[in-house]
Amino acid sequence: MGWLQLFNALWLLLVALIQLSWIDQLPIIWLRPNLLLVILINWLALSGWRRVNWWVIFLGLFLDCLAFYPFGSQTLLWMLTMGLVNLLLVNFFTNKSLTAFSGLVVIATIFQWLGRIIISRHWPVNQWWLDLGGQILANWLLMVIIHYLIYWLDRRLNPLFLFKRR
Amino acid sequence: MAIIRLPGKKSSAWPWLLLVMLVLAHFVGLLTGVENMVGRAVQPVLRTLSSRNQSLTGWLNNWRERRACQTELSEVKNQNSRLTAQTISLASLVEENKELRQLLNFQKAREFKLVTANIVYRGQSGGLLAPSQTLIIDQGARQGIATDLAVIDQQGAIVGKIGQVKDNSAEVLLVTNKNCLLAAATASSSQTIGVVRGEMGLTIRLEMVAQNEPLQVGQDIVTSGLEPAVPPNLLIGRINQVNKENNALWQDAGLEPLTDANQLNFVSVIIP
Repeated sequence: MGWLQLFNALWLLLVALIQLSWIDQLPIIWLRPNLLLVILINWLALSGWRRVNWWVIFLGLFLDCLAFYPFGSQTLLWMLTMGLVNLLLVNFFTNKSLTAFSGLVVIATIFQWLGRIIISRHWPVNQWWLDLGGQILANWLLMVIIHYLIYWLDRRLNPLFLFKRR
Repeated sequence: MAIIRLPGKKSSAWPWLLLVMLVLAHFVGLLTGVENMVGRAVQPVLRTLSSRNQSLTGWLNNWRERRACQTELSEVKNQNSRLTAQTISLASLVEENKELRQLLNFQKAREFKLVTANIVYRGQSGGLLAPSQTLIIDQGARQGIATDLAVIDQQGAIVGKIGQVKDNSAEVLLVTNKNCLLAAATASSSQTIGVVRGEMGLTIRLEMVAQNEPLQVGQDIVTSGLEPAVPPNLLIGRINQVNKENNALWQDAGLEPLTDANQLNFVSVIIP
């Protein structure tokens, strides 16, 4: 394993630990973005499916070791989520605008949320729309921040929502 | 500088094949050592970071409680005068109760042991490690924890039951979880009168109670001891609503939970 792979593994684990032990425990729902999801979407857009899919498996297996869902379900869910994101990235959201990334993060958030509800067989009756809406909002805000950060580093991303000028 | 690459259209089956092989290896038992190693390595970090987050949660809870206290204060003052009269007549009973509780605690200390565990993850809807109405604690099978054991807070009120167990961690199903079932009795009797189950993640329901069983609002409901792993007389909740219809086979009641899992930092598991 090269130094780059080791570095990737370490920072991915660090982000996962921050997500699990700090972000997920914040008392206010709208302050709980899914850092892993947003970072993986950006990584997928920048590096492609061939490079990212192995790291998605790595992350999924790490979560499977800690989670109390059926083993393998987290890995499968993350693979399906990122596969869906890749499909949309290739066929629909082909520009690199913030609109595209916003659409991707909203769809991926809903897909992951539904996937975990199905895996856990625990449909939340109490104000589930607030939970989901809060997560979508938090993920979108985080996506905006990361998107502009990447734009600042690499100007080939489109920073704004695309409008056709007549 | 980030390199932009167009996502490739060709896909490989190797990642899926690897996933299937790893899942099979897990169920055969080949991955047990790796999983335990990962769990042991991560637990201290999770525990440390989770405890740091408690200070922020504590500050927010204190702010909320301060506001609620002001409205409660006026209600409590009215109640106080009424209860003072009752207290005088109950003084002798209090003394007797104290002696009996000391005896009971002594008996409890001899019957079972407690394993104290830190809460390292609170489940939420769509949570990464566990669904809502569950907690993950940092003690597991190695410390003697098994499925269906009772989990209590510092005051001895029941928080929930153990669900799934790993070597170094366990899942706690809260009393408000629909999968947490407890045999229940009234505080004045040890006979099982019904089953307590979580409802809608908010409250608890006492179900399957015989029609001739007298239930009153304000009555305390405790564990009956029918389950071998759950000791009797652990406080579950207080009745806040009774639903009794003459043409129904059973009556049921709504219970108000006495513990707020969001306020807990650690819990104790009763090992019978």
